[in-house]
Amino acid sequence: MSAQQRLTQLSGQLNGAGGKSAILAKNPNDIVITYATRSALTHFKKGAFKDTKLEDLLIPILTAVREKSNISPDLVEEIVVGNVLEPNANYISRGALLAAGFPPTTASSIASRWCSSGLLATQSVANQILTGVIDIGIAVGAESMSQNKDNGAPPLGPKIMNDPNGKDLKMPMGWTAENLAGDYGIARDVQDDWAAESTQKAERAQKEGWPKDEITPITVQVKDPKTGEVKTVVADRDDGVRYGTTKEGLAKLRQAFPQWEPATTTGGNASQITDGVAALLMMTRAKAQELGQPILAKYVGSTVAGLAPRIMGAGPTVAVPKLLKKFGVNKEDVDIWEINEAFGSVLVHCAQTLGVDRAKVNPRGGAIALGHPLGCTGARQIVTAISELKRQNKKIAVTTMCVGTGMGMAGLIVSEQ
Amino acid sequence: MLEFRTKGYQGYSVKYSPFFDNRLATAASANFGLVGNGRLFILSLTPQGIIAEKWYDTKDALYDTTWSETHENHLLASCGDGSVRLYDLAHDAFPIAAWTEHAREVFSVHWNLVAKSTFLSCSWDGCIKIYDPSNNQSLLSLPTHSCTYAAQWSPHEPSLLAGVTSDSMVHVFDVRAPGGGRAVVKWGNHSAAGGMGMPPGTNVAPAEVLCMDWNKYRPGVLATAGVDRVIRTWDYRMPGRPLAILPGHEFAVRKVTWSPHLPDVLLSASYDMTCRIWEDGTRGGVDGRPVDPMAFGGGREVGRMGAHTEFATGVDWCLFGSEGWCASCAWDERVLVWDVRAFMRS
Amino acid sequence: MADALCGPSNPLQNFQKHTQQDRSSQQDRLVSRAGPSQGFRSPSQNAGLLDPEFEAFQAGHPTPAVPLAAPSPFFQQSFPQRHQTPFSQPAVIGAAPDWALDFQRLNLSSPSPASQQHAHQAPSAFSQAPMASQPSITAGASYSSPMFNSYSTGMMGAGYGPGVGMGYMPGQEERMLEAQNQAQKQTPVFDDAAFAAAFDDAAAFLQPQPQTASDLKASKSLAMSEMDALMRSEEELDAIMSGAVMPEHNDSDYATFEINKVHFHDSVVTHEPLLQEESKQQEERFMDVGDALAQTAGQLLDSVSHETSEKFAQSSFLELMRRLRDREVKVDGDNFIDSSTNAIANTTGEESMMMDPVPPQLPDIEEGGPGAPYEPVGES
Repeated sequence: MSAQQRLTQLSGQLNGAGGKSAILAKNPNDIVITYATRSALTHFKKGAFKDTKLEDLLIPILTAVREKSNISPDLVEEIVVGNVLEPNANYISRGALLAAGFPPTTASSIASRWCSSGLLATQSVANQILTGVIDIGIAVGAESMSQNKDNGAPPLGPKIMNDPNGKDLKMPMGWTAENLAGDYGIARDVQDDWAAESTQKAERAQKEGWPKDEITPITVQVKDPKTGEVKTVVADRDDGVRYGTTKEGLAKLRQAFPQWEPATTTGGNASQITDGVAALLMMTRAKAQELGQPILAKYVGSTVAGLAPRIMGAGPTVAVPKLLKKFGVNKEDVDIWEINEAFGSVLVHCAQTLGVDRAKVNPRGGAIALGHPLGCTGARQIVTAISELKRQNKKIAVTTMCVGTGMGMAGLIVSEQ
Repeated sequence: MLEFRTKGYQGYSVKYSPFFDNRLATAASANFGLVGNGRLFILSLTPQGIIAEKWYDTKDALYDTTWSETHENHLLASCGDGSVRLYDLAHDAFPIAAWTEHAREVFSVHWNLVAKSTFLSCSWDGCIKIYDPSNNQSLLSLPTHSCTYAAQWSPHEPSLLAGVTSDSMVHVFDVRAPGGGRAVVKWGNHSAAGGMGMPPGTNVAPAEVLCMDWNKYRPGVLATAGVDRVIRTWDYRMPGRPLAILPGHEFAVRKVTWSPHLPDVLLSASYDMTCRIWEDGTRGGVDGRPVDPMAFGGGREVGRMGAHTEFATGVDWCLFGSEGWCASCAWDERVLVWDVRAFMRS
Repeated sequence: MADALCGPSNPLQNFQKHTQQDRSSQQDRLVSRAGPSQGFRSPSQNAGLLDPEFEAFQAGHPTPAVPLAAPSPFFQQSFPQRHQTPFSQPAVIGAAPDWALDFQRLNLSSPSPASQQHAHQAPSAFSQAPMASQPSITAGASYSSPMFNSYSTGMMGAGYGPGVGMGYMPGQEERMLEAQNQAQKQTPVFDDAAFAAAFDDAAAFLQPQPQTASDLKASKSLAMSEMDALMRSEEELDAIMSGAVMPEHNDSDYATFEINKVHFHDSVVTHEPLLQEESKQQEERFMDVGDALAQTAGQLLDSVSHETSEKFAQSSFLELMRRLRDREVKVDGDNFIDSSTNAIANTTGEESMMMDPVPPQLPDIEEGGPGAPYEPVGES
């Protein structure tokens, strides 16, 4: 009965259609997620997937979706794969769905917007369902950073390079992270503090077994780089998490980019380079009820917003307010914030600028602890959010990430478990 | 146009007495109802203008008022502290009875127009409660599971009532059922009509519903409106399919009320600081008036009163005298009494 | 008709694009270099050269042999007769001369206008590949390989080298790179001067891109260097956490970033100080995370910010919202108070003349029915 609550209610009335109650309402045409899963996230070049090709991430995850969800595969009309680095992602996706037991009548396409590709894939499936051109789709985010090189920006022509923002498209991500740290005064020790906390949360989550209902174990082969011996392993845990990480320990690291002021980034407060895949089975509520599919969550929607490439890390600070306004949701209504930890400066700047409750940010740790397989992350965050909302018995999650070349994307989901 | 200033208090609701054609009540709150006290004003229309006969102060904001249908001196006020208070004008300063059963702000209170022996209240706590004034406890609690902004008894069926909620739903209850009330039907206020360029079954985005009113002439027909700025009319026996859709307001609609004299005319008050007069299109083409082909159901705005300078929150028709008189209240601390005919467009 | 053909393997469609494409300055330059100079923006003397062939092809007539220059040994090497290419469409389908012979005649020393206007455009198969994935070989191919220059004019800046009319099958890139490497070992059968001139021209055209192969390699490896630096830092972290001692870094590891610095110096320096000012304000504003009321007031104002009417501009309520947002006013108990004076704030902005006295502190009411009239307690 406080002034704050009354003012929030009033503000919501002025905000237009939407509002927390409306978001929580259930309508037959809602887009819902009936199955959500991901692979383990494994360290680039060292982890379980280091010798695994992209198709061998896609095939098992799509197989898992097909088998575990009990969906009749011929009902799935389109699979959209978010991916950044693989030049032949379209062929591989199409081949993978066939190898995973989907018929040729299941179409595929790829979605690519750097680190938001997984969320873009999700929105792409949602758009098709919303407009009625498909009934059932699967959104996938997948990346093998071990197999596909990230060469950064290619040569760009003079018209682009003569534009000040165009030129900044060539800026390496680490530099943009340092720009953010410099512009907004985000100190190294603050970043280390948040980074350590991310890892500690991930450690705790693993020890408690929370990610079990997120992860589909995948059996793969790894080659020992020294002996050449090939072993078969089951990738079932996120192997990038460094147990026992502390802020003090991270403080000992030397600067990774001393040439870029203020040089606050280290390998301990930046996202790890990682391989992984995640998938979401999506359809309307009415269709889910008709098929007897369990409804895990409602996908409300997403927004994208752009900003100067040189501080691309601030992307969430423009995408999230736009999202909240579009859907009439107040910050206080959000139970979980999945903010992609591209770099410590990104995490700290976005969480502080958005003014969110730190305890609600990345409750199972984020990319600093778990890794950031570029095209996978956007879908992976949703898988994690669904599992964690259920565990906490909460409702609303916002997922968001910065996007190289200067954008931010944000998505909104509501748990129905 | 007559005016009264509710100095220091911003108006939330205004109601004409059913017994006296010159008596009005206004529920108002300090600090726009966000924090601080409330005040219930009893106003009289006199040849010298509007005067305040008396007022009652409350510790928390007041959001609605309604006159008793049985006792000409009794009226109810609903309060931000969860209480519903019954006042007798023969007694100053304090209510003669109060019920504090709601857990949150009580946004609406309404006296049964047919049975006259009961009244209801609805609240942010997701309940509609039914009371008998001679009982110091409510008779019944009907759950809506969502902040309930407005609820009203049907003017035709003594046991029928409807309520509208923050989660964009319209609920209809019947309190006659043994063991307490039962839900008759509910539907999404945002259900779209087919044929508006949208395939049937496609919904528009759900939005909070802030107000409603039963039609006084056509049993089963009610109007709803709220945050999506659009007034919709329904027949609860055809749930989910609006009869008419009346767009026009530029911000949320706070109050909607059917004319007591004409079956197709409505008055509304909105955060866009206007009060507007509408025809719902059911008269159709009579008197040479064109039916608006753009509005679903053929309804349209026929007049607008823009004298308020803050959010308009309440509006009520005068039952007596010249048809067309009404009163409105707003956060500009003014209660205005005016004739809608002065504001009709040609 | 060409439009109906979809998918990556549609050389015909792309050939049509070749003949219809924009004759922009880069092609003019290279073309005019070979022949009589016609000025910077002269229409290409090759305009429409191949149109008759193409139209004939479309109409199903046999086409005359296209006077293409001799091919470079690169193409001879890497593409045995079985490959289709758009360059040679008319001749191929016309079936008169073998398409390979057309390539035999492609030659930088006597460059054919026809060949040089076959500038590449990104084939659909590769256009979906994101920028970040374009390997250095493509750009390398356009700069360091002389053989490509006669074809690659259009691909400058595109970074999608393999589409140089070679068809769009996967693995193309690798084969081409391999062939390029092989070809480089051979004695080129081309005109050195023409090559050097064409190359310089291409490089000049692309200022401020790097101009030597080694510069290119360095800038191409920026992303890898960034990753390397992070990987090294992670290794350092692993070592710290396992108690090991890390070897010293060699500063020369960072040499490649120097190029970076030179190129980006401007963009680092010229960014408005205004941004920093604003960002500091923003920082201060959000330091007090607990002041949700101020933030909500700000959000509310945003919701009505599009409304420009006078009534909204003069609204006392919205003025209160501004004061709340800016923390001039805050809530204290049952009142809004002025933050600086702690006096009760006048929220309606009017002179409080003839205001009723502040309502008395009302006791909690007792519940009861109308049968027992309420006995007032306390002041009236």
